[in-house]
Amino acid sequence: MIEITNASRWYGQIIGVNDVTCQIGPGITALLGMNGAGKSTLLRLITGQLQPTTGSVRVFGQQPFGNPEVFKHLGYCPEIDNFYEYMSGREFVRYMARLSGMSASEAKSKTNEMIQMVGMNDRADRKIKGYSKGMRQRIKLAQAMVHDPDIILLDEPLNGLDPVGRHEFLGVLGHLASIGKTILVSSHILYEVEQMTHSILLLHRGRLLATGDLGVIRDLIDKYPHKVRIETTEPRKVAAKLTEMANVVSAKIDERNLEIELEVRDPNVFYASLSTLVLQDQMSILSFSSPDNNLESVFQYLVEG
Amino acid sequence: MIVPFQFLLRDALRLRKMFVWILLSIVSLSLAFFWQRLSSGSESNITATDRYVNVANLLVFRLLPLASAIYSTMILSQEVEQKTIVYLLTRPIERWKLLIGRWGATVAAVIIISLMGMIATVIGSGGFSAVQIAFWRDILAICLGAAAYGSLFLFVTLIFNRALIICVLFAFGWESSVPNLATGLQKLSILAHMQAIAKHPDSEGGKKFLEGISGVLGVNNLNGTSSGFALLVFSVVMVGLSAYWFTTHEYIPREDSE
Repeated sequence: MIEITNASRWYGQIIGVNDVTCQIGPGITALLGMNGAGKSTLLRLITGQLQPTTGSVRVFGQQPFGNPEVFKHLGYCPEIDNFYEYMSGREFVRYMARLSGMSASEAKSKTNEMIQMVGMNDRADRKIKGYSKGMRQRIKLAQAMVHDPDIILLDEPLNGLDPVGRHEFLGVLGHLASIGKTILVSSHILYEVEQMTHSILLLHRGRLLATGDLGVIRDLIDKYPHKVRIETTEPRKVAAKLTEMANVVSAKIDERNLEIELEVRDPNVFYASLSTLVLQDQMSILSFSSPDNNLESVFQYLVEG
Repeated sequence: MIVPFQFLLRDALRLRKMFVWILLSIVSLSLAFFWQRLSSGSESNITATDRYVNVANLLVFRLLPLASAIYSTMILSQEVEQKTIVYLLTRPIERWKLLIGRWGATVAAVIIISLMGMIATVIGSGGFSAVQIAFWRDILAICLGAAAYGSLFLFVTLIFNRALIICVLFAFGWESSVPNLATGLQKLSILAHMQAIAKHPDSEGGKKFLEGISGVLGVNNLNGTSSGFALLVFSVVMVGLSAYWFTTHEYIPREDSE
């Protein structure tokens, strides 16, 4: 459906997207990358707002720049929160439906359907200027889907949503994917992406660093020792116990004598053993976290090894 | 083309945006009514036509380019500034249709605003019957002028960032000075062409500095029919150029383009 071949995009001296080649088909695909990685540029190339400096972008075999035929199949939910503030949410979605070529009556019924789907029925007649960030996200999603596109592109859609909103939003995305829609979601939060899909495109400094299953990338990362930070009231005792475990490579107690930083192999096995150990030996562990469980670490592993 | 036209016209005619123009219409009415106090001639010499012509020249014709400059920015610049351009450019509608529909809406809004001023001036001058010939010619001049200014400013807003300054400079710099010059440069002024179409008679009771502001100090030898044709052709060419430019160039939200 979406085919990108050696696409690069320069902004003067700055490169936004650098020689990206990939194909995106039905289901949910996550476009993962830190801020400034080129996610929004790539989405703008696909949505025909920008033209590639070199290479090509094709959507259903057609170049998308200023091409209404492509836009019939494409719904875009941008990252921006800007709207026509004087309009109500319902009026805005209806305007977008009318711009998509629908008759007034068709636009009205599709608008009502979409407003219902994103859970805004009771608030859609209020002016947008009074909307919260979460409400704006929902209206953006409604306008992206109002003309029933085959491809939906969402730029950081979970920003500003509360946990309930996130859960509902992910439910909607899951439903759309199950009925055969192609969904491309950009995000810079690994945890968010893992909740949506395992199919990812990993962008870093404009380059496509990895594509495929998030699990495979996780496995790649798991070849290297992971850092695990444990907060405890008895750091020496706990560290002594933990270093007896086969997959703990090293342990370091911080200067404040409150935390232990471990390097472990095969973190999943480690976490399973840790809970048993805590219960058996009555160890007082206040919290544990993995500083490696974020996107920066993924990039560090993939780029630097 | 109809949908962008309808929605932008509705936005342009919101009371909040119209408030200043309604106020200026009231000023036109008052000015026409009290014109004799500003005039140099004696009260008995000043006819209803004199009042109408003077106020139409001074306010309606001079404020039209300003209204046009302000409303032209609504076509695209405002969308780019507000970042809402992204919603318009990812819809299945040809860019040229979007642009022409929105241009039409702003021209219609400017004509409506000017009509309000004209009607107020007619009322202030003492009635329609005395000024009806001049009034109908003015309507034609306003329609063609609004289209010409709108198309010129549209092109400017497509090419330059923050184009309002350039448009206002043109409206109050170029258009204030060129029609007052006794040179052939008048052909390059939309206001001069509008005056040629309107064919306002020489009126009594205008002070020199007010005539200067009105742009009627120079000798206007332009032919009304030719001027009408020139404004029409100019509008078509500029809108065509704008449509081509908009179809082939990228427009993304302001912050992202900087």
